[in-house]
Amino acid sequence: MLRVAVDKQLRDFTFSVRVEVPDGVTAIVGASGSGKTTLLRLIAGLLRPDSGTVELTGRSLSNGRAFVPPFRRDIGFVFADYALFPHLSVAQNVGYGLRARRYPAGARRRRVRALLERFEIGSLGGEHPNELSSGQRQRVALARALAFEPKALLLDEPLSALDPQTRDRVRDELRAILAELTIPTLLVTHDEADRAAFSERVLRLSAGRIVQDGP
Amino acid sequence: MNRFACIRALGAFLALATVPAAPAGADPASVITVFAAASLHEAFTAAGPAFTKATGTAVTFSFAGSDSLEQQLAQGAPADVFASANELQMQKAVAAGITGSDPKTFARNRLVIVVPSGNPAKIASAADLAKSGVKVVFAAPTVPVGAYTRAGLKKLDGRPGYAADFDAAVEKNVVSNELDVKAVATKISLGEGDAGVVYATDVAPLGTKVETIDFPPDSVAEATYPIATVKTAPNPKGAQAFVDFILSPAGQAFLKARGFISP
Amino acid sequence: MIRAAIAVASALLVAFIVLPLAGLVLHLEPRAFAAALATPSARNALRLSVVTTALSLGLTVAFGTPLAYALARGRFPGRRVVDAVVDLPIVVPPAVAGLALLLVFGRNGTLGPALHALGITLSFSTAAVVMAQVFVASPFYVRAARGGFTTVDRTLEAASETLGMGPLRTFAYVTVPLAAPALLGGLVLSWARALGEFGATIMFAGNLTGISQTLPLAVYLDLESGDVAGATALAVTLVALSLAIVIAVRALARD
Repeated sequence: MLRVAVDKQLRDFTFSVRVEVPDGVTAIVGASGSGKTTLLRLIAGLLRPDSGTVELTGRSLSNGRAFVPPFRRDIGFVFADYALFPHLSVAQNVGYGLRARRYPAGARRRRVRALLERFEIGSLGGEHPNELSSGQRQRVALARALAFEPKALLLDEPLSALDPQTRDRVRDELRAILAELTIPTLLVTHDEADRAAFSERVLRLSAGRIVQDGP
Repeated sequence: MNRFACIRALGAFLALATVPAAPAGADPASVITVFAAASLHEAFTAAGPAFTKATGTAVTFSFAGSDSLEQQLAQGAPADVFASANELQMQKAVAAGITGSDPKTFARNRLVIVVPSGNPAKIASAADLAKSGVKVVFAAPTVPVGAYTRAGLKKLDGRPGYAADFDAAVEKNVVSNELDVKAVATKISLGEGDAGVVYATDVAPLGTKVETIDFPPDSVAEATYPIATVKTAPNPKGAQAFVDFILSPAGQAFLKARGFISP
Repeated sequence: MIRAAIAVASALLVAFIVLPLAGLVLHLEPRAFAAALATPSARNALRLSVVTTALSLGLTVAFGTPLAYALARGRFPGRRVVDAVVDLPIVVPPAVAGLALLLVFGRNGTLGPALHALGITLSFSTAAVVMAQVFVASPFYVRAARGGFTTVDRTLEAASETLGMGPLRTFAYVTVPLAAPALLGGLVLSWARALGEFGATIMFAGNLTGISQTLPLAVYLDLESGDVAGATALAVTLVALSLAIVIAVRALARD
């Protein structure tokens, strides 16, 4: 369970959100500039709230006294443009979080291979991100974020970088993968088709506040 | 101001800036370049305007260590007159076929020990230069004053009060071999060294920043300054006129006024 | 037409650079070259130049890298001023830099008495050579590193942190590798500038074989005393050393 109750003064409005996110996929929709990415960044610890708390599976990540930095939060993040490391291979990208947690090389290699197989990019291990199609890159980003078995998963417009044809196919694949997860998963999107496909629960944000919470 | 006016103003400024300024009273076509030892800086700079007034020829000076100047002349630097702080560099110039006229001695100079005001290392005489821990600043051995210094120190070897290897002991205390005498003077006046050797004529410009200590008699030689025209002088008549002026009572007065000894 | 103009202009500039350097080498007499390099003063100058520039480079990278990062990323008051100040040594004439160092760190300088109380005298020392080199050369590295860090996408650094790498490891595994070309370029420039440093060195550190007489000073002094053969030998050594540095760093960059 992910509990968020934070406030932050932004340039155009005050961001103020109170929400409980259970295991499973919750979609976040809203006009551009309504604070969707801000919410993800606050949960990930990339942004500090002015006040409030963030709590994940009973562990406090951010409250008035303590602030857990992003690298200790165990939360996977898929960025809008995927943010793959251009100087590292696909295998190195996917294994990055394992390296951060100091997995021994052998265990790391095995886990990376398993992930590449699962995401059907097994043959791309040695390639570099700039050699991949956008659909392949999306899979690498997802594999990378899930490699270290995070306690929550955040996806920021995971399909917007794809062309319409690829998007439909990938949407189905992504839905299947996310359906298997048992962690709180927040998916930000401005695409109505995504909203419908991904979840039963939809949060609508407007000017930093939740204006709708339901199916 | 609109753009066109700006460009015109800039153009006028550039045109003016590139026109060389001619000294007042001088025939613009008549200029000479004098390569002179660094220690002649004050005396020659003062004598320059008087020379120009008397002959109508403007003078440009280039002051540096005499060894450096001789090298530049040997490599073909254009100059009209060479005034050196020792015979050696002038002899090298003669041997290299650089000189035009026969070199003539036009001044002499005494060497003195200088210490920063307050004498931090308590130098009382030349013998103290060999004291352990004293930081000595000389000019490089190929610079005239550096050569005179070392020759003078060697003459003190074995004298009463001086060890047989006195000059070697002093050399151990040397912390820097400067490129000309003015650099030595500057370092001492800034208090960077405990003692240095410069010409007596270099002391006055340093004012209260330094104190002087004399060498024992019959040790360090008096410096001898020869002057000669340069064979490939762009302005041979102006060159000879300058040499004549320096040797004349009028020119000599400037040297004497700054402490040089007559030749 | 344009192609021809480009070719001619390029050829002229390249020739202008190559000619004097080639001339240096052509003026060498092999036997005199070996003899000149065998003298203690030449060996001292070479050793001193290698040691001091290595130290200067180490200090420049150690202190310049965090500074460059702060300038590229930081949002602190006075950042623009610091930015401009760091570039100053590039435009200040070396002799002026030397004088400035002397007036502050010299025996009678602003900090002189304080240093003396700690038993430290800097002027006329090898430490002074390193200080002069760091002063004139570090801006080249900081400038290049700052530019390099600015081009690194901050989202990549954020991604690295969400994956569990702390700030220092993120810097090592993401920021530095991506900024590496700029860092190495700055390194070469900085090293070359330190190797060729003359004016500030002779002002602040003086000129003494084995202590402060680096290769450039030795070249100048040989020339002053008329030893053109010796000066040429040292000059060629200096050029060869610089070339070696450029090649070594380029090779590193390719890995």
